[in-house]
This record gives sequence, structure tokens and C-alpha cells, in this order.
Amino acid sequence: MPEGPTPILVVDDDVELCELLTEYLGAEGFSVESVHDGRVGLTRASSGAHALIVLDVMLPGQNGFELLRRLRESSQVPVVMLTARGQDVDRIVGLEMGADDYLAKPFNPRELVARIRAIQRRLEREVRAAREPREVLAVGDLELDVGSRTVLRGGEEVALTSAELTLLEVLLRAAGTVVTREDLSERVLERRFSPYDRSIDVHVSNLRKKLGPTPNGRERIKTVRGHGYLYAAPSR
Amino acid sequence: MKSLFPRIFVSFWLAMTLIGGAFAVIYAMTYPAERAERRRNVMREAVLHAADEAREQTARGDDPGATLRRFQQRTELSVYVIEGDRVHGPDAPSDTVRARGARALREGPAVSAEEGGAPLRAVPRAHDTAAVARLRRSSMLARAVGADTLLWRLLVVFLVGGLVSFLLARYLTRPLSSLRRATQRVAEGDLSVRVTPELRRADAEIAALGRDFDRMAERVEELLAAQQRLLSDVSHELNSPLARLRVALELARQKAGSDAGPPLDRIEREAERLSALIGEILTLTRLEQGERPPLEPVDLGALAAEIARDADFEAQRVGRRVVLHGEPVVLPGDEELLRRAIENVVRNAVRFAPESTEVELRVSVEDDVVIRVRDRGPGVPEDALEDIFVPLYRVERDRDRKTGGAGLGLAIAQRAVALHGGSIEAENAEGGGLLVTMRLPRAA
Repeated sequence: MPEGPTPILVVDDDVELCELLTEYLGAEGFSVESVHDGRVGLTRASSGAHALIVLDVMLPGQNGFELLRRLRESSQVPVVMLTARGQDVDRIVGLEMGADDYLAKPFNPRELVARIRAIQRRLEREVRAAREPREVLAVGDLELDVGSRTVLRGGEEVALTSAELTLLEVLLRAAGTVVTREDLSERVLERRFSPYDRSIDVHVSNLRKKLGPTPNGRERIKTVRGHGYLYAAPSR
Repeated sequence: MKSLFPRIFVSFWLAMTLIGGAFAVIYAMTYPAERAERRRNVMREAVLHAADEAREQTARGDDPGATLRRFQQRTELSVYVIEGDRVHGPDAPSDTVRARGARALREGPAVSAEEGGAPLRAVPRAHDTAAVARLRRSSMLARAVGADTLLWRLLVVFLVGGLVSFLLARYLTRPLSSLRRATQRVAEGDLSVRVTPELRRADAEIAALGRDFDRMAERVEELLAAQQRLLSDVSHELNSPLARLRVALELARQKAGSDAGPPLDRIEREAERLSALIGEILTLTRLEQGERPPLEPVDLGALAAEIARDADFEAQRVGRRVVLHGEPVVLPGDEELLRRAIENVVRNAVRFAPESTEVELRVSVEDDVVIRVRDRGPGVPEDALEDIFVPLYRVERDRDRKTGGAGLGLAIAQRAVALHGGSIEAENAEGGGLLVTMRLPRAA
């Protein structure tokens, strides 16, 4: 249901860029608050007043990754990172730290809007799912409550980002069968799979790290070369 | 060190040989007569003296052997007293001694140089007694070598001179060889070379030269690093206005009518090209500055499969295919860099492949791990086969603008491969097209 423009926080030290983005995103249905400093950025991002944060990695003083890490200690608000071109490692580190998506600067603004919208749609689905009758996906020692967006491993909660959680949901629903990267891209990132995009690979890697092996010491998520990924059904 | 060492070596050797030889010759020329005369006198006195003593002893019934032996030890003269059949001496007499003794009895006193150049003097003392004196025999070795002659002495001078000259020449030229090798490595691009530790023990002048060399190499290294940093910083700086430009462009699109669509698209395309170029330059500068990245085991078979699949996906959209013939192999490397390198070469091949043709990606294990990418395009002129790895090189300006690409892909591939200790080269394949071969070491 339409509730007015979606509030977005942009943290970037380039003042002019922020002005342009405010105008552009404004016409696309977002209301932008921009902040040019890391410390203020962290405060505002943690405030919960925004639906999504756009965060520049190259902030003077406190760098973007630091901010992201500290933000994740208290908030799972979706974050899109703006990274530097030619610095592949930035993307990977950012995704590992819990960003939901990334774009290399200078980016295509339409692409930014597309990614923000994808995240929005995912959030809406989560909100809708929360209102549905309770659905829990249980596979092995994992329990994923679709509505409340929580994951329990052996009874203990595991903190996952929104993207990781959606990814796990897709894999669990198909437990024991392969899900292709194309499929995962569409359902998790809401975008068509483009060949050299490694975001799904990195999200899978993060998920693996956070979940660890099964109690029997086996791998939870298997890579099926040439096809995609699958969540191993427990052997019983 | 082809010419300095032999020159120093030979000139020293020649000088020493001449000086030493001159000494030996002068000495031999100055002293022979005197020496021979003195020897004869010494020996005559010795023979007379020793022979008399020996006869006194035999007359008393003692064995003169001990006396003669003592005499031999003190004077290096061996005296043998021959009485009829019996011979008394410090050691067993040789046949020559007996023979000479016998002859002396018959013919009178004689001196001869016998038995290894040691003079021998035989003197009759009574009608049946002769005394033979001989300078102590030189050692077997010296005799064998002819150690008493002038020739032998010259030979010794020659050999010792050779050895000393060799050592001296080496002492002087080795630091220079060191320096030369270091200079060659700098010329090949390794600016980290320093010579001071190696040259510490060299001659002072050469050591000073070494220090100067090090200072120079350091300075050049700093200048180069500063230039890289500048290039990197400039590229980063270019990104900011470009980012703003693109957002402004979208704003323009929002406000403009549909007629403005195509020209704005065009602007966007150029902005995208600039972005791509800057990205590639930044990657390249990072690789040029880079030290060897940490090497971990990389599953190259799987990596190649991923790249082939992605590239094929992309290629199909423009009517080409990418096909993989791979062998499973794991090697030490940096996965990101290897991915970049192979992707760049494959995408380059796809760009130049004619429609409806395939690009082949082949991974095989030979002495090294070999990755071959082959297309059936126009290939590259023979004299440009090395140039294509130079940043921003274009074979033909027009064609490249149409086919896209920033011109840095192959340069990046080359740097990435070099950081792994490997190599990359291009050749025109039989049957048309370009074949790019990357070799990577199988072990670190």
C-alpha cells in the first residue's frame, strides 16, 4: 500500500553528487536524506528512520566498511554499497560485511534505482509473509521462520542479512535439488543473471561461513559445477 | 665478463712470468761457474777427509758406516769407501758408485754429474781403495720433475704467476661482474636490485660505485612509484565528475522529451566507455605496483568452466560461442587475478570472432599449465604480435572502436600472468585467427 515516498539515507562525501541523487531519486518515488560524514552517517543509519542506506565505501575519516560493520552490530537495515571501480576486493569485502548489494562508481543511476527497488520488493514480500500463517522451513538442524525472518540452527538464532536469508529460503525450499545461479539471481537479487556478476557466489560463501558445517561435519551448501547450488538434504 | 677478466689476467701473468723468468735467468747466468767450482772443492775435501777417517776405523776393526752416515746428515754428502770388494757408506751404494769407484782406481780422480744431476766425485786413495762422494740425492719427485734445472724453475714461475694473476684478476673483476649483472636486471625492469651487500668486500673505488648504483636504483624506483600513484589518483579523481555526470544525465532524461532519447543514449554510452577505461587503468596501475600476491591453491579446471560458461552466455547474444576443452588441474595462484586474466583474453577473442564461429578455451597440463584461447578472426599482423600487450595499443583504430573494449584487457592479463611467474604470448594460428597462450608454473 502506497505510504508516500520511501525514505532513503545516502552517505557520501561528494556533496554535489548527493544533491543530484536527491533530485533524481525524488522523481522516482524516494525521499533522500544525505549525510557527508562517517560519524553522522553511522548515527543516522542506526536510527531506523530509513528503509534503505546507500553507502559510499570511500569516506574520509571512518571508512565505509567500518561503518557497515558497526551498523550491522545493531541493525539489519538494507545497505547498497558504492564501491570504487577496479577494486574488485571492495565488493567482496562489502558483501561479506553484510551489504545487500553493491554498485561500482561511477554507476548507472537507473541501475541504482533497479537495485533499490529489488530490495524494496523483497522487504515487501517479507512483510506480507509475516502476515501469513506461520510457515517454518525445517531441514536438518535448521529452522527458518519465513514470516518472522529468523533462522535457528540447533535452537540458536543465526544473524543473517536480508539477502542471505532469502537465499537460504530458496535453497531450503528446494533442499536436495539444485537451484541454478540464474534462478537464484532472479529470486534473491530480483535481477536477471548477468554472467560476470559474482554477488550470488559471495552471498553463498557468507552463508556457508555463518552456518558452518552440519553436526555430522558435512557441508550444508554444495556447489554443483556447471549447474548451481543445492542445500544438502539430511541423510536419514 | 668477457673481455676485462682475460685482459687483466693475461697481462698480470705475462708481467709476473717475465719478471720471475728474468730473475731466474740472471741468477743462473751469474752464478754457474762459481758454484760448480765451489762444489768441486767441497767435495774433494770431503772425500779425502771422510775416506781417511773411514780407513782408520776399518783398520781398527770398527764399522765406518755410522760415521759416514753422520757425515751425510751434516753435509748432504754421501761418501762411499771402496776397499776391494767391500763398500762402506751411509747407505747402500748404487751400481754407479761402485763402477765409478772401480774406474777411479784404474784411471784416476773424476767428477761426473750422475744420478739425477747430483755430482759425483771418485778419488783413488790407495792402490785398492777408492772413495766416491756424491751430493745427497734429491728426492724422487724433484728428480722426476727435473726440479734442478732452469727450465723447471721457469715453469714454476709460470704456474705460480698464473695462479696469482687469476686470483688477483678475479678479486678485481668479480665486483664488476656483480655490478654488471645488477645493471642488466634493472634494464629488464627489476628496480629492487641492490649491490651494496655483495660489494662490501671489494676494492674501495668499486664499492663506492656500488653505493652510487644503489642510490640511483632507489631514486628511479621512487620516481616510478610516484608516477604510478599519480596515475592512480588521477583516475580516482576522474570518477567523481563522471559519477555526477551520469546522475545529471538521468535527470535530463527525466525532464526531456522522447526526441532527446537517442542523443542522451549516446552520451550515456560514452560515459560508460570512460568509466570502463578508468576502471581498467586503475586495475593496471594496481598490478604494476603490485608485489606478488599471496598464492593459494586455485582449481583452474573449475575456474575455466565458470569463465567459459559465462562468456558463452554473453557470446550467444551476439551470435558467437565459447567452447571449453579442459583438464582438471590445481595450481598456486590468486583466483581473482587469474579470473581477470583469462576472462580478458576470452572476451577479447569473442570480440574479434566472426559471427557463427566458436572461440576455443583449452586448459592442458604440460611442463607448465597451459591455457590457450583461439578465435577464427582476422588475427594480428606479425610485427604487432608483441605490441598488443602494450596498454591502449590498437591494431587498427576504426575496427577497435566498433568492437568495443578499452585496449587494456591484454595488458592486464599480461601483468596478472607475470605476477604468477608465468608468461603470455600471441601468434597467428594455422587456419586463421589469433592464438593466445598463457603458461603458468605448476608449483610455486
